[in-house]
Amino acid sequence: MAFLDGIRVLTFTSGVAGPNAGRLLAQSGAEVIKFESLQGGLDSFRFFSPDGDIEASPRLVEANLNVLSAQLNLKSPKALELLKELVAKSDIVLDNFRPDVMPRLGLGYEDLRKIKEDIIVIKMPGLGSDGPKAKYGSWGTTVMAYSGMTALWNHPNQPHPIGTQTVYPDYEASTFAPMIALSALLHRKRTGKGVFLDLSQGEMTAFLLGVSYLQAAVTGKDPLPQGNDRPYAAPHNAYRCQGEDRWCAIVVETEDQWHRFCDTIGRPELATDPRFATLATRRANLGALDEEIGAWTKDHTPHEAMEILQKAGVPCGAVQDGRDLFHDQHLRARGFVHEIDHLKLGHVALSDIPIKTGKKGINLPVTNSVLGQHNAHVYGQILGYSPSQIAAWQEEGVIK
Amino acid sequence: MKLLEGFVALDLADLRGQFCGRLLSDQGMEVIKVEPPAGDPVRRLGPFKDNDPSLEKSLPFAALNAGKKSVTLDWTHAAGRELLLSLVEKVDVVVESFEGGTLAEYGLSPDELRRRNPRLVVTSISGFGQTGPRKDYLSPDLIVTAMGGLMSVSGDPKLPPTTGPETQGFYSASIYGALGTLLSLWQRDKDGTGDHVDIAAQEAMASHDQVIRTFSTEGAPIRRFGSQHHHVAPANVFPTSDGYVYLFVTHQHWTGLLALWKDHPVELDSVEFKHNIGRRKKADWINGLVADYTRQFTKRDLVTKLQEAGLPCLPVYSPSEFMTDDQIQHRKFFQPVHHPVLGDYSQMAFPVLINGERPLLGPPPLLGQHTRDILVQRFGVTAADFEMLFAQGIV
Repeated sequence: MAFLDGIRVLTFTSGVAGPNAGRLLAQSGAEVIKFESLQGGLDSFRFFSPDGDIEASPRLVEANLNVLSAQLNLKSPKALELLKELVAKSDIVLDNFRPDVMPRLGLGYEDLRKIKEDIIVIKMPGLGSDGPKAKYGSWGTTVMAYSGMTALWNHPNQPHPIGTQTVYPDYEASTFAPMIALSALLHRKRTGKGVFLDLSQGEMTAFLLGVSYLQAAVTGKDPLPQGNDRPYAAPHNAYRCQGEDRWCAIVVETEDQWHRFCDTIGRPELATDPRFATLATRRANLGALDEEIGAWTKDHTPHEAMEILQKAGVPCGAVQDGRDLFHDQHLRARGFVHEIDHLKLGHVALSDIPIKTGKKGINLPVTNSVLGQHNAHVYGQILGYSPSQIAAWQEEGVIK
Repeated sequence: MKLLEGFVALDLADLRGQFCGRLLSDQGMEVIKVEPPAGDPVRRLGPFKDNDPSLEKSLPFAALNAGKKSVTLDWTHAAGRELLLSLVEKVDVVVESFEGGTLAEYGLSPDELRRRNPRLVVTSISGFGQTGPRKDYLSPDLIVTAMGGLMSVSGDPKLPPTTGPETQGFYSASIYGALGTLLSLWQRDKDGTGDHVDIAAQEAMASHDQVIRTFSTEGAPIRRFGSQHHHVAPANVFPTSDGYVYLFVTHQHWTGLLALWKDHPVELDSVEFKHNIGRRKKADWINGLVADYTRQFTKRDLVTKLQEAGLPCLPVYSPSEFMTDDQIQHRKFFQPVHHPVLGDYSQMAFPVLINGERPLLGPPPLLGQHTRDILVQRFGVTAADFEMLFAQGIV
């Protein structure tokens, strides 16, 4: 039995944050129905396919695993009626539209509450549902810039900000939204009350910088980028290894680890070298320290260095890329790398959800969402309309 | 509004798992930190207020533990272990993030905890998880951001791969940890039993940006390109006259950008640039031209102008710029808080408005601030037993 068996979620999502949130709820067992329309209402990630085929966007496929697909043209009044009938039979409504879109359609929280009093509504717009910048459009990387993350994610003393090229906030928001959804479900179960949750992705990204913001608040000064360095460890950096652009990360947090590290790389004299004998002196001589370490790592592959050092009780990890992760035997042993067969993409490896529990309440990833594939289920089985009525609505552009 | 009111958690986690308890606490769960009498080791991590390395001035501690309660309890001692187990019987959740085997050494393995309380949800947050060939690898945050793939796609390609600020691998794992905990509490309502939630930070990181799937479908891993997005252009940091913005232009926004940028070079109108793929191939060249345009404006003017035209562009803010942004102020994201040692300051709140309201939370606890209240008043330890435990240095 999956955890959320019996829970129904209606979603209006595009990109990564919203769809991936739907995927998490769907793999947890909820019946998650995603609504799109060929009348200008497709997930923008459908256009990320190499040949324009809206069913062949790899990003879309992974972000919407296990989610059911239904069509609904929100520009049609009849469609809005159908949607309201569905809301009456659902637990959660989730969207990542701009915040004014749903209220304008008469589908704001107060409207939905009139249909189903204990409905849980989750919105996850870039900068939140109210306020002077509520209508601002955003993508993950722009949210990251706004949140302070881009300014702080860099090596020290660089000429311009870097950040990460990934849409980092989307993935964090996509976990955050199901988390608050579960809090709302537990709350509803205990009080009988629904709730309106307004998750600002900009705030959520800053929430992942709590120490930096506290530093700014307490000292009145902006913290600066630290790169791979941390005040409580040395070494604490990435080191160049054998191979093209290959690296490993090494962290020494205790004096005991430092001695073992020096012995293991065959340089016991470094442990007592006055430049490196204590954390304070190592931190005062980071350049020289990194040079000594790099002289050892350059003759090892990242995985060799990791195995040697971990065996000796020193924290080390290869800087793995997508290829390494694909082949990672530990991740394979844990079932995290999962392979599926997709109609258009063929055999595809992707990541499963990183939550393991004794009860195994999370379903395996499956791909089943060709646009509109579940129209009959949604309008026929859930709402009870006949195939001919559904066909008529398809003809009229209501279900399109 | 306290969504999780009535639930109680014991937080045994170190730096790696403390954010999980913060997430639960912010949503209204009562989260009780169990610290050794000498204090949580995170209290020894800088930066410190006034650069003073004392136990109540650690900023990582204060940020990760705001709103929690603190009980000191030495569970490495037999009487302390028994006391901890008696608390475990009365709570809903235990969050822990020790290296594999540490709890078991003291007879406090997740299985043992659940034997004492079959309704308990134990959430273990670790670098590599509770199973698999690398489960015992040492895993500070840098190691898991390396092994999880995030570093390989982050940073200037001329410089070493760059980890994120603070401890992103374990923050990410902690969100999954909170989700797994709540899913298990939901299930417990149905079947009456707890569970053991196993979260690996390496996997939390490897869930980002579909790095495994990208290798699988493209046959090559994503490499790091600095601020440049892997598939989209222009999608990068761009200069203005007084700072930087991030501009992200996909298919539907490219024509909008060209319409607004009246004197753009005519070459950009070419049909080959209509699609992301064409623009991404010539990203360096296009970025250079776009930068010449963006440099003409201040950060604020450019963002306003582009947003008014529906184009996703936001400023690259420093923390102090973010804190004073009108949107952030309007939504009261920072709240005044008083702490006896840190003084008065603005504390970041939970990033969700619940029924239009910002959840309130208290300051971080002083070491052992709630020991007597919690043990004697909440959990029924007798005054005499408490004095004895105190005399033995266990609490």
